[in-house]
Amino acid sequence: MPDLPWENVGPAFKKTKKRSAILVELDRCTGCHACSVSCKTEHEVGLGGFRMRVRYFERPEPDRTTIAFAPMLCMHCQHAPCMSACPTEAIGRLDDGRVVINEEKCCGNKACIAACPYGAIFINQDTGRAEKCDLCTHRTEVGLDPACVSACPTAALKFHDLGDPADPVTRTSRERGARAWKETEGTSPSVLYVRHEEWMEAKANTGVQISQADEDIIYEQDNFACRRGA
Amino acid sequence: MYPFGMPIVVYLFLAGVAAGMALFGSVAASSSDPDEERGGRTAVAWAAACSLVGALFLVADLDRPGDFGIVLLTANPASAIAWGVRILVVFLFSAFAVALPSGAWRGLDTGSLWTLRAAACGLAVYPAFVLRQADAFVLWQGSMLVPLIAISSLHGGACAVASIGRESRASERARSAERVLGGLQLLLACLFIVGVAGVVERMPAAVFWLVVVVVGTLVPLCAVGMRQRSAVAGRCALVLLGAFALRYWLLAVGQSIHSS
Repeated sequence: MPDLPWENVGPAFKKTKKRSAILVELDRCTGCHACSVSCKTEHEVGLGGFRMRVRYFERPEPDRTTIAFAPMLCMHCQHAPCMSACPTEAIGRLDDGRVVINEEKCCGNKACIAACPYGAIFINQDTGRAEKCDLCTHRTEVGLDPACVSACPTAALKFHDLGDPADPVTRTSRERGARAWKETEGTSPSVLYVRHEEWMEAKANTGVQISQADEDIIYEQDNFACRRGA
Repeated sequence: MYPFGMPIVVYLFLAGVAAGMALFGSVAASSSDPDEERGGRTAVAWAAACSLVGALFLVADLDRPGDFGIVLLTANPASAIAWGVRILVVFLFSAFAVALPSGAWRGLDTGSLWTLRAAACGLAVYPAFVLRQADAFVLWQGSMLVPLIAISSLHGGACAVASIGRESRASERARSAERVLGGLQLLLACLFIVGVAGVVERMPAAVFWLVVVVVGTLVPLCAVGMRQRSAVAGRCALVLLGAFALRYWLLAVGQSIHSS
């Protein structure tokens, strides 16, 4: 039986002094949800919680309707409002710039949820602690890509070092004019989007947080209702 | 309401009223008139009780109430909530110190009084900074929010002090403050709702005008000269209703503003 990849690697693969980032090419995204499903599976995220979601946008036009999809996750901001808001310093930053939550210090006050303009943080209903994307630290430490990046069938998601101009994905990001979601928030995210149009942002929300409770739990509850009735 | 729910609304209301009562009560408590001093300490005692009950609601809102101690043991200087918890603790201790009969520790009274006044000012103001730090919610970023919440707290406290106990110089002073604070609150509330008119829909705006501005501020302001006990109690009830409605409106409407 072949060795699993993480059994043969060690600390040498730990990346330091870099800015871990994800490039999202929206023109490649088909809305298949492979990213959100793989994330849910990888981290065993409980009911109602999503570390990664796919947002749907529709724009009706005279002769057609345009539909777009945008994977939304923690943006791992350089100026993370969640870090400032947390009174217990449960949210910190690793050497490669990613923002992570130390669950042992979290008391569930939800200040981070209110501070995050991207709706990236949620309360795990089982533990009562805040949870969010950590760019699959347990995978990247051993040289693997985050689960969502590995699962994406169209390579719409790419994991790279935003601080390395020689990184091919970083070059692509620059050439294609990748930019931040909600630039006016001034958070300087590490997750950048290509073919990200203004009408999508207006559709997503008007500068305030997406409520995971409103959006995703209703979807799951509907699914459960169908199953029970079947 | 998500992520801040009804317990936070109750806490903001009780903490605000407690701050106002403590400020006015502490002024009366430093008087040389024994009756006025007693009335002042009574007001501070009520303030301590309100803030204690409010603190229970604050802890109850946590998803892990048992870990509340982490907030006290660690401090993020950038977090408004971290500052607020410490202000609340100082307020509670100083309020109990002032409220208890002077007796043996007369020498500590001056320090306790000034500590209480400083903590009360902090308690009246810091909740607005907590809301402002949640910069995902555009309604809470307005410049009128901090003075509006502060004045609302003082106004509620002044009304509560004016309605406690017998007619005295303390209650007369509080009644005079009601005119000023009521007028300020009316002005700030109008400026606030006009300032956010671009993001608030008509129905929530109408509710704000009716409940917070008219019922909670304008009507009591018009009745501030009436001295009958029933009028004073009625005015106090309307002001406190307006204070609660303001905080409920801010959290309910503020956290609901997003596109479909």
